Amino acid sequence: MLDKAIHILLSRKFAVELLVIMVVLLILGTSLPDISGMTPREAETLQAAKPLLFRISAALQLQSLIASPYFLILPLLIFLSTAACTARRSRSGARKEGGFLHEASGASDMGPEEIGALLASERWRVTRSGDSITADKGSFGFWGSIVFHLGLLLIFVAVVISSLTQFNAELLLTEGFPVRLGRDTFVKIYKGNGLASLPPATVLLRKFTSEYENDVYEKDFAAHLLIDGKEREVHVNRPADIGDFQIALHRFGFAPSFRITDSTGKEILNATINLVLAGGQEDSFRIPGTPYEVQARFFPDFATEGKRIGSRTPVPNNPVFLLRVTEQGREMGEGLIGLNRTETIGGLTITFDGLNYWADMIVSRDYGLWFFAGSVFLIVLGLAVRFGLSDKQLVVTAGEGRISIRGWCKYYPMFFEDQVQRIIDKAAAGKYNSTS
Amino acid sequence: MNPVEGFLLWSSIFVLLFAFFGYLTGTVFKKERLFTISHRGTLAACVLMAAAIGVRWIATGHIPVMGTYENSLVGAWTVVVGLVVAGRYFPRGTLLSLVLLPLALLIVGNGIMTNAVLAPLEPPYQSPWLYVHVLFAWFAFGAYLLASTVGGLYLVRSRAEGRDGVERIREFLPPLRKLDEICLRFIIFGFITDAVMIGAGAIWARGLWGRYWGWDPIETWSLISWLTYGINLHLRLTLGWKGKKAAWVALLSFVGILISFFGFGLVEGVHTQIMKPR
Repeated sequence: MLDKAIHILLSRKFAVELLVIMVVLLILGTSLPDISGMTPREAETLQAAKPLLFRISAALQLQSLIASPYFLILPLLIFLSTAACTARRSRSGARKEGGFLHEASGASDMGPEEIGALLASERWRVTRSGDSITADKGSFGFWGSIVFHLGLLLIFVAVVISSLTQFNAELLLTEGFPVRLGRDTFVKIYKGNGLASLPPATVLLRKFTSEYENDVYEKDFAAHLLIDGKEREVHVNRPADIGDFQIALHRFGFAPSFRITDSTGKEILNATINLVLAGGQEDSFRIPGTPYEVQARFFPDFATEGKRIGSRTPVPNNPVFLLRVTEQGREMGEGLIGLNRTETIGGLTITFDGLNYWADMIVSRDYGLWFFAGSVFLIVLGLAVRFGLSDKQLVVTAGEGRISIRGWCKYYPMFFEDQVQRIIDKAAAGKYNSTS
Repeated sequence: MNPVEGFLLWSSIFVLLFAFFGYLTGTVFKKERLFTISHRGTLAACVLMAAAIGVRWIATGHIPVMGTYENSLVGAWTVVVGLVVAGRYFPRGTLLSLVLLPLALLIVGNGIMTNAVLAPLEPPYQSPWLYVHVLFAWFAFGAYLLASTVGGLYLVRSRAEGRDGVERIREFLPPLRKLDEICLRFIIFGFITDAVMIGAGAIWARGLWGRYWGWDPIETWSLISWLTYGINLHLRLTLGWKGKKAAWVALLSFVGILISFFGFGLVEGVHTQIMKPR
């Protein structure tokens, strides 16, 4: 039984079959409808209309698939198969098997010694035994294959290390509001390994800067942080470190400060609110303890054109909100409000006190990355050595006015034949003699 | 679009069109001289396109990799460079040119129809890894395209073997064994550069999104493509597939690359969510 299992694991056909199954499942995972990205209504509609498709999609959609134990058996088997094949190949060493054979001969006055010198001048490793010469090239190619497969195995190690040590969470910071890092301060924890080793630092978004070229094209965004009192600038792509953890800028948005009083003059809200307002998108907030909801649309650089309103640029040069007040779903009124202005909208007196930014940061740690980078290095090195130094061997006999070559190469037979022919041509022309 | 860049690009398009019709006329009407002229035209177009890319690079201050126009410009150039490189193995380069020149024209035409405005590099792209990632992506995609084209031409030539009336196809294509080997070489080249592309992307992603792999659709399709070409190599080198079977696999494997390339920007995922105010 064990012998049979090992035999299967050592089978190259089995390795290819595993890869094919994996590719097919991944294709299905990315091609089927993404139920997790659907609204509940869309999901219900699909389930009612196409129950089979819904069930298959639910089981095979990518995020479910890659976490499924049934799927994880595949990479495990690929790992075992690769490990077994690599171990066997390493033990058996480089062997001139498979590949292509080619024989050629021609007239030549060169003797074995001169032929040997000719081959050596073309970087063949030459060994002589009587009239016969053996020349090798690219025998490191075998080790390239071993290094490549070790690189593949290291990917699996990287994945295991990542899954055991990875921490990845979203931290929402609003300008001027410090946050002490801890389990409850994260908006969402995607991977929670090593949370205990996260330094309990206090993080403050001191200032957020956005830079646009000609007020249109995004150029640079930076979160100026104070981490335990130390200044750190975090730009997109340029994260900062907190101990072993990294803090990166992920998204940002606007956080206006509103003061709202009702018709009796009672202050019902005085807060800075993080709103999602990209590209004219509308966001809303409820006023706690009241039946009121406020829908907000933001114009960072407010402008009018006839009866149309809009924003000239994405830069907050002239920030104006269009606010719509509703009471239990019933519209009470709407109106525009500029920075540091007070307006009465739908019976509420609203003051737009200030405009800040919020920044969504990704706090993460992943020791698997360096193993992954190492594995890619080994894969590329191994492949380059394996295919760049293609293993070749020549057995040459020379004498009595003739040269005969029996050649073997691992890959590229047509190019190898050309190479052999060139040697015969040089030997025929006595080229080595004439040039040396 | 910069006026100099526009001039260079449109010149290259006209030269490519001229070269294509040269190859077509030469093939149909057996005008041998046209092949030499068309080959020179292709080389000239390659240089003109490279100059257009250079001018744009200087004008924007960054490698042209943002948006459909820039990707199409570099993509079409990669196809033409690939054609020049692979053309060495093809007698007069005719059939390969008749496949790849219209493809390059289609790619660049598609790009010109989109927004070609000169814009600075958006913050998520401002990483040294961008250069490695994108450069090797083009190497890989170009090599895979050539591998699939050569695979297709292998099938064309194998159909022509032993049949009367199609001697000219045999005349314009290398022997089957050589086509098979060229196809393998391009797959190997693509496979290695693809690995560099994925590795560079992963390291870049760690600084940008806090993880090196997230099963984003584009990432997943890159992996699918890499694995598919890994299967290609296994089938050819360890299971001994060659000839028509191997050519069909090389031809069909390119579907994954097409999805990776054209899926960029179409499929929802972090690759399409660039940094904007929310």
